[in-house]
Amino acid sequence: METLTFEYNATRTIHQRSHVGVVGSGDLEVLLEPSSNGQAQITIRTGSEGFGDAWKAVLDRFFLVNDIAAKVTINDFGATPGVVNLRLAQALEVSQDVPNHQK
Amino acid sequence: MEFHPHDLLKLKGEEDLICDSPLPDWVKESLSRAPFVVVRRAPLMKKLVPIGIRGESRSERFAAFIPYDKILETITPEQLVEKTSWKQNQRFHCIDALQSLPHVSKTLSRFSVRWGPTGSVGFELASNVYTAKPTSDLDLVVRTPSLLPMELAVDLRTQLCKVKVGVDVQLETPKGAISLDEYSKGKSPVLLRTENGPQLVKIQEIWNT
Repeated sequence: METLTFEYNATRTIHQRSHVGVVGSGDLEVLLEPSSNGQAQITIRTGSEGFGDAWKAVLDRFFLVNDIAAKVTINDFGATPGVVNLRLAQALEVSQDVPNHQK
Repeated sequence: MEFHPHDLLKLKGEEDLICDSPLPDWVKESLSRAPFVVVRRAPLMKKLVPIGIRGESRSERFAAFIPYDKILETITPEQLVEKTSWKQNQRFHCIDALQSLPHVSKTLSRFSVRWGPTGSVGFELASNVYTAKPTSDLDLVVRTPSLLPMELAVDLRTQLCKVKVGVDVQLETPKGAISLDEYSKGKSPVLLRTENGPQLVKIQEIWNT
């Protein structure tokens, strides 16, 4: 098991916490939580060791386009970069939904 | 000839593989231990089957191709169930994921679906080479050529949650594979694994033609 951390400066905020993905081979869970410190702080726990560069490439691109202030927790079960990117996009979409009671 | 993701192919050796980059040493060692490769979810090229080689750790995975005519044998996940291959496995009593197969088989037979073990357990049953670990989950493919009603999916998941190891089910639909865990939550979108990569789809579109 390996733990990786990444940080990016951020300007945008998210509305709410979101949790997407599943515990299963080739997949991952992503938890996004709003943060007020102007940064995206990402912590990854993965069973596939030695893929730090691949994670950096996917995250650099994602957080360049989506500069959100958030605490991001990822539990990885050997997802491919394509799956990681989709799950991040899905988590972001859910986090920007306006909660029902505010509609 | 038809090949599906998760099918295990027996080959003579590393010399029959086709790939862009040189073979890592662990691939050669892995194939000399067990000359089996797994069909990957990728487009079939002309007379070449996309395959993956598994090493001992999760980070050891290597993609390559094998020409049709170099395949010595094809073993599908379903065949491992038809043969109740776990009965012959020497490590049945020390690996929980193997030991749970008779119970899982009984459960799935009530759902009248075709299914089979994949991942390390499937590989061990097909190759007879020690691959599963005491901590291994049980990965399964369940064939769902037509819509799996949500109440059945929820029931199936509930039943499989009672198994003493984690059971990770991929539902194989005509468009690609989805996770039973995700589908049975009933929320859109879900992740669909297709031969052209993963995509997010609405739940009601999974089985639409």
